Amino acid sequence: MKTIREYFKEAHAQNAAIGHFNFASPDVLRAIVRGAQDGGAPCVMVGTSPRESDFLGLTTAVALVKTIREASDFPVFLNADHFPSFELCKDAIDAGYDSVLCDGSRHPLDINISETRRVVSYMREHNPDGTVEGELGYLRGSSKVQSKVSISPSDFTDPIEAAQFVKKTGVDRLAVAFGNIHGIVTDQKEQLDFGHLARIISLIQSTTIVLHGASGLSDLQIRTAISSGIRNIHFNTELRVAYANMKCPTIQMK
Amino acid sequence: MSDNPNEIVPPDMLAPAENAVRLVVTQKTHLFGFSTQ
Repeated sequence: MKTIREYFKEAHAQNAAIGHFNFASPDVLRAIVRGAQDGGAPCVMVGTSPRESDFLGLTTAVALVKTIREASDFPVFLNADHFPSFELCKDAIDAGYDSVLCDGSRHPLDINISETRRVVSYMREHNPDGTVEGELGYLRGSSKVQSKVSISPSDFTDPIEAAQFVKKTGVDRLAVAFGNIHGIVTDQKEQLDFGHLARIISLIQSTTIVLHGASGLSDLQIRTAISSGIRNIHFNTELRVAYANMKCPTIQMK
Repeated sequence: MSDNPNEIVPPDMLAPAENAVRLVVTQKTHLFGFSTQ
């Protein structure tokens, strides 16, 4: 199987993106893998947030992904999504995760850099094929349906800081904020600032740029994000909504 | 449908939810732009 790094190289070469979908149960994981295969993807990333990981267990998530990867003969990579500290990232790497997102975006820049750099060093030492994502900027909202989330340009990732962050940490991917919101908003239209994204990408062209909070974006916004240079796209809430809408009535019927 | 009366939620009752997620992932994946798609 090719490494996740090789798949991202292909994504860069083809001006394409790799999908990342969250799960917290075996049936959702299977749905993600089958959906990615149905859609013709070369591989798929699946992720567990800290809460999803607590529910499922790190070693269980690793075992499930290993099993479905082998059973389906399809490349599936497991990411620790928004793990907020070195210790939690280390636990995920030790458990066998292929990738971690060390999310120090709530910290001052210097602390975010030092924490993320520690995670990169640990990953390189323990799993040379593993990858590390960092995050800069304030990505508001959460993985649920919300009426409105106020954001301002001051939340956006600063392009100069992004260049500094990438250089000092050595991350493989960087999650950025340019108008995107975690979750789905019902009473506002998400406005992505593609000019701002272009300024970020112009300074860190060799790094994979990640769009979080893609649930609720239009197909056009997603296609534009990819043509603008986004190479990894995260979805969670739309999956949760689809699952809950079908599951809850069925169980109530019983 | 399971006929085990002790089963609170028969597994096949969750199939529609799994299929709904699968469909969302397929639709999103079609947007990603790989030449294999």
